[in-house]
Amino acid sequence: MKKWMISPGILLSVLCISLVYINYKQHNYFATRCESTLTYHDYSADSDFTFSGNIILEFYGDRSGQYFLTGIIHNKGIDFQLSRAIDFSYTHSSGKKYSIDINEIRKLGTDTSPEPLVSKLLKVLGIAGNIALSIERKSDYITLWAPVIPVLTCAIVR
Amino acid sequence: MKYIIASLIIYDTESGIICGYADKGAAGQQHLTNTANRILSLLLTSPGEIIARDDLLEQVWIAHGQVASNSSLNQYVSILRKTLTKMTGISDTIISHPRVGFSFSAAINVRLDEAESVHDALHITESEISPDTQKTEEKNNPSSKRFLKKLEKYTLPVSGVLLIILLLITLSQYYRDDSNANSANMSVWFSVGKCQIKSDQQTRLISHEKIIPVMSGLIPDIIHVCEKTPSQVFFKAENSVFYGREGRVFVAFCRLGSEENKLMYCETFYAYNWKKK
Repeated sequence: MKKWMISPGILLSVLCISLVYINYKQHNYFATRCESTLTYHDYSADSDFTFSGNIILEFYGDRSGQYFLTGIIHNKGIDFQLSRAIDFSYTHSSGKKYSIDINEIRKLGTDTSPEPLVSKLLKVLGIAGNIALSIERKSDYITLWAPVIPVLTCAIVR
Repeated sequence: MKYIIASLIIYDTESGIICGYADKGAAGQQHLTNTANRILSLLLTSPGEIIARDDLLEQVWIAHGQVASNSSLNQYVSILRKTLTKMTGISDTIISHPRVGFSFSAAINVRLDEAESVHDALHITESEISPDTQKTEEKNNPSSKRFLKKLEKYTLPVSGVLLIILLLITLSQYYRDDSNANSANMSVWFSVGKCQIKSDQQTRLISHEKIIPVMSGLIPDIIHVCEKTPSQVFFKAENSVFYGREGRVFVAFCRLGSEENKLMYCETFYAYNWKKK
């Protein structure tokens, strides 16, 4: 009787769909490295916050990644050196949407930037403050959307 | 459903088999006919409670497309009484209520046993039953045959429906991805010199003429560079900026390489609360 109760058709269907789904899910995690310069300017009346520097963004297939930020943060007439490595893990939620959790922020070389200013910059980049990030991925570039306006387009270097 | 009656016999309503419970009661087993099975299972749903004749006739015969009669009902009840008495030694198992109906004696202990099967009660495992015995049982047991046929009949449609549901779920996932893609997907809008301007806000409301000054606000020499350098420019701005109000503006200038038309490097400009002067 048990033979009849487990339909091979149902099993095959479930197996096929599961394989497609697993393959689809895996596809959402990728390994790539891209680079760009970034000039950010906050034109709000009470702010003169700017950042000018380089960004290297690396995604690893194991759902982790790294940001390398180097440049100068300018705030209230003072320039601060920024040189940080940010370890993060990224989780696919749906479509192109991802959430990024920062695991560790490390100073590299000369870094004089106060933490609140670094946090502000990270928020601008959509990697802090629980912003759902959209990743538009093409063969030669990546654009990060946070969430409805792009914040960075970087050329893929490998 | 399985009932243990007077802790002496076990009765399986699915198969209509009555047999001794835990080495008690009479040896052997009895197969009830479908009609007798239906009557006994109805009476056992609420021992002690009278079930009206009309209800029994309706549920046992008419509901199954058979012709009902009081004499048939009396006959089957009589057979059931004899069978139960033979197996338990108890005489008044089914009580007649003249001109009203029948009830299963409230004095007899009846309890449900979901865990044990009739075969367990007989201390026989399925593997111990020879194929011949199984065939004979199936032959003698029309309800199990009917169940198998029903299962066979519905397996294919159920598989199909399940497959369609799963495909729909998968397609909806992809569709959702596509709809997301439209909101975060830059495509070529127009060209300026050797630059392809890419954006996702290609509407008639915002003309090319309105975009150039906004882009130039962030990259002052962009027109000049575009005259010389093959590039892609990614552009997005909040609509408010086109009407002279503050808003966010994003421009990424990416130079194309000479080979394969791929992006070589990018310069991103992102402004918050930018306003056209």
